[in-house]
Amino acid sequence: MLKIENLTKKFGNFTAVDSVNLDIKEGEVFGFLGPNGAGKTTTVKIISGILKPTSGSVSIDGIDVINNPIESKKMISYIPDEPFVYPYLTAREFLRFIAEVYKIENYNDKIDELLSFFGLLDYADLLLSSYSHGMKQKLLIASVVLRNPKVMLFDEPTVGLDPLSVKKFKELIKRLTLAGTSVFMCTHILEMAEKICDQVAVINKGKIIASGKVKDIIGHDKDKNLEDVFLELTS
Amino acid sequence: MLLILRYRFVSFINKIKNLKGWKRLKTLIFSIVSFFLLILLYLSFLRILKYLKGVELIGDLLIWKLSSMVFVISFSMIVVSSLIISMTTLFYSYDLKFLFSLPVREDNIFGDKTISTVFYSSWSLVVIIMPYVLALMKVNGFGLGFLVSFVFLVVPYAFLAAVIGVIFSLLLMYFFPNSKTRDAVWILSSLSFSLVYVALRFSKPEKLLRPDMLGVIANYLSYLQAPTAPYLPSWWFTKALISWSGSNYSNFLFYSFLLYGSSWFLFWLLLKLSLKTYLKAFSGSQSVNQKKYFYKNPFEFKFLKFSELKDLLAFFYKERITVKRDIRYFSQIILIIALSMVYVFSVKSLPLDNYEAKNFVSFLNITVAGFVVSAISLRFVFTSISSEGGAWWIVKTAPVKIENFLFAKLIFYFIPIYLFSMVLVSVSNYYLEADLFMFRLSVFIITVMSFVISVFAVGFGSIFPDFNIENIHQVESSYGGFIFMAASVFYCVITATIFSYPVRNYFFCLYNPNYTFEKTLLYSALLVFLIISFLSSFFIFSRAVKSLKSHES
Repeated sequence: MLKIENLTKKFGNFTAVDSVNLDIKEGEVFGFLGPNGAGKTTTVKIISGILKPTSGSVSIDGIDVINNPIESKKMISYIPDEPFVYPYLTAREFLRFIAEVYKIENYNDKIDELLSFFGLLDYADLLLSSYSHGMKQKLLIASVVLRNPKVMLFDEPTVGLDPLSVKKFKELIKRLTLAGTSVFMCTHILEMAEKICDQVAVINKGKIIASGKVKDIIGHDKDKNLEDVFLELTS
Repeated sequence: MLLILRYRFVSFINKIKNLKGWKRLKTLIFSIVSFFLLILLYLSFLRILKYLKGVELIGDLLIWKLSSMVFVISFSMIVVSSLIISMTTLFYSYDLKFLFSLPVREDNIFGDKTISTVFYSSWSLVVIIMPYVLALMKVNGFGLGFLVSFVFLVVPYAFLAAVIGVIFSLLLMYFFPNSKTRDAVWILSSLSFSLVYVALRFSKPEKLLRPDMLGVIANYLSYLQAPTAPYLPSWWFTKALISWSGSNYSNFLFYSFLLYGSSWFLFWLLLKLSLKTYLKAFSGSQSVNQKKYFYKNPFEFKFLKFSELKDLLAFFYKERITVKRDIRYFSQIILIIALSMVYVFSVKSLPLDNYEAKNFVSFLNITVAGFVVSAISLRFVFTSISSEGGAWWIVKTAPVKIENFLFAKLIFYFIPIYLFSMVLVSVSNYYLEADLFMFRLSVFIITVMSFVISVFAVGFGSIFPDFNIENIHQVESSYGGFIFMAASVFYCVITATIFSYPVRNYFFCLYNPNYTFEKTLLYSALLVFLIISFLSSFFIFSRAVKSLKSHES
């Protein structure tokens, strides 16, 4: 579903992403791990169309992201690490705005359902400037679900979420992947990655240093977990 | 506080050091163009001052009267600028939460933010009055000491002006922590300021500048000798400069002491005041609007069901709601209404008593209205791209054409800009009793002109965006804003030049039956004007689309 080939991104002399190759299948949850400044956010920004790669290609369901940005963006939804939204819209207005931009039909009932699921229904008519970080994050996750994309891109999706919301988020991911949506998720929370990801890749200094199924990366040592392996790989 | 200031200075130096490639080139071009504009300003001031110096007996009096008026105007402009900027620097800067978490006293943070406000609200005005001071030196033959005394005095002068805005913002936030009350007070303050401005203009101060209007020459002389706003620091500033130029050093020291003494005293008083008020005011500023806005199906979604335009209409809707709910727009709209009233009143008050002069002014009025529209577009339209701020990722990742995003901005802002320009031109023409030909021509030109200026504003705003901006007023004073203004002014001047030929021909025919009106001249001018307008808009818009498509943040 999401194919990344020889992806490289340079900022001047600095190589942020160096010849990255990844292949994420339909309905798969993919964890993209790495220390700060490793190149995770740059990669996800290239996939979402915010940045252009220096070389290499990214395709969604066979459609090239760089040459066919509008068609590919119809299939992607992205949530950045900082949940910036329009401060003078309410949550309900924001979701309707997103629905119109993405040309979604008959969205009213779905919006109420999503607001209720994330516990935002009582705050649906307040301006987003009054929302906390976590509330904005929940709203953005709701907006992603509203779009029903083929690929979801998350950059640190659970930062600022309360434990109940994290639980709901995990359930949601399960439900969506069962329906065929692929999830690409940058995270530092290795415990979550270990539990919900089908595949993971570890990036360091722009290069992929390990990738595969979680159990394959951990190996046969039963005393080790993903955190131990991650620290060994990146230290 | 010195430590905070030191780190601010280090950040500034790092920023300059990190200017590389295209950014460095852009800064260099901007600096060179600015330098030439300052030279032009210097030459204009020199011409005016030379003329005044040449007036027998009262030349020096006229020069110092003009100087005191320049300093009063600059003083009040710094006050207004500080009123707008201080609200952001004192209460909404990105680093404030971090600074308050440090083991630093709040008066130190307040002091640092006050100094930032003074700098941001005064530097450009100080740079602009510099050519005036140099022209003053040249005309009067003052030595370098005069320039040194100016630099020495301008610091407390700018400080005293900017501190007024700081005090207002601090007290407003302290006494009205509730956001709704604060918004209401902010609007009322803008309204009061506008009323004072309109009242001052309607009192016809130009009468005092024209000896023929006063009747008795003695009244005119006493007006020239009288202090201009004697209780304002701008008058102490003027008196100190007059004293220096007349080698009256005791007076110079007295007024310098007044300026520096009152600055230090006020700063000390403010720091003491901030210990009691700043933290509470800052906490109040963090309170949020808890009002509920119940959703009504907006007309953008209700009536227009064209699938292809859905994204454009959604962006239009977002822009409309944002402007409607952002209180800062209201206070500025009040100021613009005051400005329009003063503009029209000034046109009405022009001492024109013949048909030719009135029609000539009606023609010039198109260009002046173009300048005013450019300035308004700089504030509202140019900044509208950067005001997307951190939420820019929403547009960038959405499956929409950047063209549609820009069209939404353009349509939304063009409507009020067009109405505003039409009011300026039509009402001015009415008061000028303009000829029907001139009326029709000016309405046509301003229609095209306001559209092209709106395209320029959206275009240059996209070519020079800054989505990480802390204060939207910094976008206006950026080099992008400067280039937009230069391009718009140039376009207005070109337009005036193109139409000067058919308009001259028309009036020649009106007064001289030997002349025939050359329709081809008018049609050629119209064609050239439309071609230039279309090509320049098309070029800037295309560049804007390209720039936003490739923008990486």
